[in-house]
Amino acid sequence: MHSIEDRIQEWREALNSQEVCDAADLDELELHLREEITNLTDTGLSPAEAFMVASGRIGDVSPLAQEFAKVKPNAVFRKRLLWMSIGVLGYMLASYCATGLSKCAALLAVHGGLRGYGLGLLMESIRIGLLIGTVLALLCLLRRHTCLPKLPRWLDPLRNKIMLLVGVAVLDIALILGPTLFAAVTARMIGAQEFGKISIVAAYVNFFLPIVASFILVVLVIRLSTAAGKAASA
Amino acid sequence: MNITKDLVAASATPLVLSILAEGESYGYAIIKRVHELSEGQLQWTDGMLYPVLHRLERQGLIKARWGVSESGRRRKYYQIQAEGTKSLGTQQQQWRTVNSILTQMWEAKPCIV
Repeated sequence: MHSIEDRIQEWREALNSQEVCDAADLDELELHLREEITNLTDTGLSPAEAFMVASGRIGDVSPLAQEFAKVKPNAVFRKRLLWMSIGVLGYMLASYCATGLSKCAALLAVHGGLRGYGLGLLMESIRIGLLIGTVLALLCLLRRHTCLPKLPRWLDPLRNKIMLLVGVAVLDIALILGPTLFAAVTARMIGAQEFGKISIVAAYVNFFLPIVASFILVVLVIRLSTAAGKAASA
Repeated sequence: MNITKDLVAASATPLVLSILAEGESYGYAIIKRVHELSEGQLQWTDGMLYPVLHRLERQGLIKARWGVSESGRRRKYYQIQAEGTKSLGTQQQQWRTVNSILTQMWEAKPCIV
């Protein structure tokens, strides 16, 4: 048997999962629901009955969210952009930490006398393990704090899911093979020394790009969460 | 008599502005006032009031502030602004015009009714 507080919380969560209302909107609607429940229980209804009537009067969650979405069309996009930025930033940070940690572990292993393929395997397995751990942690975080968006309907049959996975694998191979082939052909055409210069430029870019990217992402996350906070406290 | 959805939606803005023109109010009280005025003839889904309020706030016709009721309950109060009063005036004229056109028609041909 659910208590009335649980029911109100469930109702709020259902509305929140529509990804349209911010905290202030949810507060306002919850206060309305509570006021109606109080008035109904005063007239002699049981709390459970009062909840049923009050939530019925406020209306179904989905059309309500649609009406809210008309008033602020950017809300859903902003919320998704915020989560996306947090995700990319989290993954970037984690991948650097994972690389760093795997190199530290490798140093220890070298000190311990490990060499060759074993050393490479050790380093890479630590790196991959840490990355998988990070992705799982991000997923747990998402699951706890917000309802995940529903899968598009065309993905329903198993066949389409498998097709998607195969497609992603083919795309990955193409994306990895492409630049490698390009590098091999270019190196053969212009000679190793000239190719080295390209690599130096690329190394500089690879050094600064994540710094700039993470800076932009942090600014984006701060701006988006400040806007959401302002709306909540307004 | 049930009034059609379209007409309910169209009358929402002037109705809310008129209620707020009586003085500052909050969501739940506005809904109560709508029920009272229409004697249940306007079928409003309570929650639908809030998107209307937020739209009016965005348009600068009303202003919102968080306050606390006498019983200590947190509430979001809405107050009509000068722009809102002006807009209400225009809407009154429009509704009166529509009303008088229809009345003229129906009085000229009472057999329709």
